[in-house]
Amino acid sequence: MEPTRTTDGENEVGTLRQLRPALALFIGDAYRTETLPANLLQGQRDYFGAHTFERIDKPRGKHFHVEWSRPGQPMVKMK
Amino acid sequence: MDQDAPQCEVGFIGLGVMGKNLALNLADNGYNIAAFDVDHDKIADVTQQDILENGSERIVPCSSFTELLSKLSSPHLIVLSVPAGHPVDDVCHKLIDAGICADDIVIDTGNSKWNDTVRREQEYEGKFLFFSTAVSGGEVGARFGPSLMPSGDRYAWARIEPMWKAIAAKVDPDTGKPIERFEPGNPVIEGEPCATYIGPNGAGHFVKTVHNGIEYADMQLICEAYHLMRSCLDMTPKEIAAIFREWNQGLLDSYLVEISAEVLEAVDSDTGQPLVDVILDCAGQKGTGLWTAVSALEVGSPATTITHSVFARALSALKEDRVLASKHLSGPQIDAAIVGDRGEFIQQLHDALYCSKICAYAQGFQLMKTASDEHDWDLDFAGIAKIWRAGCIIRAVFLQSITNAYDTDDDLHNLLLDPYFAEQISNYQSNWRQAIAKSTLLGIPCGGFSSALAYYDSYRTETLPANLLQGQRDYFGAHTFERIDKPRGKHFHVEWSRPGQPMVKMK
Repeated sequence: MEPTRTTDGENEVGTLRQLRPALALFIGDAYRTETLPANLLQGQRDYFGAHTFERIDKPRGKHFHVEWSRPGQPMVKMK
Repeated sequence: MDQDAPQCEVGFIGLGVMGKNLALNLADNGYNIAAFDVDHDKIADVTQQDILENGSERIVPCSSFTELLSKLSSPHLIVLSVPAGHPVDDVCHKLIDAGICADDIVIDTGNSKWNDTVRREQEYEGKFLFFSTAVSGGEVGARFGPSLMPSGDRYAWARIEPMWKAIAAKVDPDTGKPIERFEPGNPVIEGEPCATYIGPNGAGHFVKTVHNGIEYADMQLICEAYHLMRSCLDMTPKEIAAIFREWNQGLLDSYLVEISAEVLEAVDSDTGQPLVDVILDCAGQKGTGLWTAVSALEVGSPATTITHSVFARALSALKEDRVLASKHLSGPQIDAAIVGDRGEFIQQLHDALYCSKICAYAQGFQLMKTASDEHDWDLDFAGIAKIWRAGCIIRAVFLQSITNAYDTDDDLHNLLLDPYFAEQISNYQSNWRQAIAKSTLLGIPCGGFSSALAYYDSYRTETLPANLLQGQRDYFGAHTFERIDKPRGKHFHVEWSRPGQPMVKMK
């Protein structure tokens, strides 16, 4: 499938091609937002349900949990 | 086998985070438990914690289903806390093999799909009584008082009721606020318990599903308020936490606002940064929000804010796409002139959050009403609002007002039509609209706020452009339409390509 938009630079066309075509059509404000408040949402989920979160400075797939009710709220790396 | 084995009142199968805490809660309320888990370490873990907290053995470890049944007084009462799906059926079959009887009760407390519950009740009929109870409140709720949504056979409920009312969260009947005490061995026994019979078969799990859908919306709306303060006012997480704490003293007083402040105050010890800034902004989900959205689409109940919240999580998960798109797709800059006065903007966000939240609950209750009518569940909405006042994730002072609304009119068509809520939105809507207008002009997404406003504005619109839509459908697909001046159920079609475009009355 063709990219939804083309740009002048070949590299940019290349990177745009990597966008999921159907979703690339979704040019809403959320889509063009680098950091969404889903970080707060992940914090909420970890708080009440121990659902864990990933960190921006750690590889994807590594999950962390804060022991919210313990003194000092230590962060634990999950296995 | 030990001939002096204690006669336990309750069998407990599945001792994960929720199961372990529910079992300890039951023990605190005087129940002797026979406990089993396929992972024997988990059995040891719960019995050790029980002895550590209590000194005596109230939870008896069992190494097989047969042993568990032998420790129970008859007829057996068994609670399951195993992952939703196949594991539930797997345990049910093993219990049948171990000799469970027709009069025995098995209660599924997992996050099961409500239609699985309907199927199971039929499938196990005659073998044992399959009963379901949806549990909300997370780990802490399970331990010290969850909100419980039981459904199934009425006879089974009569036997289960005292147990669930004992362990459930409690509400002060005078204030409508939770009575909380987080002390092992000292459960809250006073107040109104957050456990009420919901209805037959899958009703309880359906209601819990909608609860989670509302929870998704509630969380998304709070995140939007945070995002706008952060981006438009350049506030720090700590400053925003202070605003949330202030909001938590008023109309928005709720568990989710409270914990949002806690999360925003937390600092990452590794980097010294606010914790929220090191958490990756990709939201996970476990399915119940999705099921609410799917149910809403299936029965045609417009739960737009709930559905948006599910999609907002999906969109957040497209992190790589967004990073790329942020470099390619243009949008406006933050313009202080549009933001306006800081205090005024914060108040506008408060009112937007409040009005949007009312709409999200209105959508959830409307969905439950539609499903209740379709399945003949005869749901008691005041009763449901009551058991959500404590123990569960969406607990909020606000739920007392919903309780009052349905207490006053148990046939209320939509929460928005309740005089109190109608007046609330009337008072706060101008700020709600301002907040959305500003976010739109500033390019900060607020799909939760705006989907709620679109729901509100559509709901109060006498004539929607669905008349043009019906015309389009008739044009290309001969789908016919009704007329405003003819009785409902009479369908008409225009022969669009014929000269004079005559209208035909369909038979």
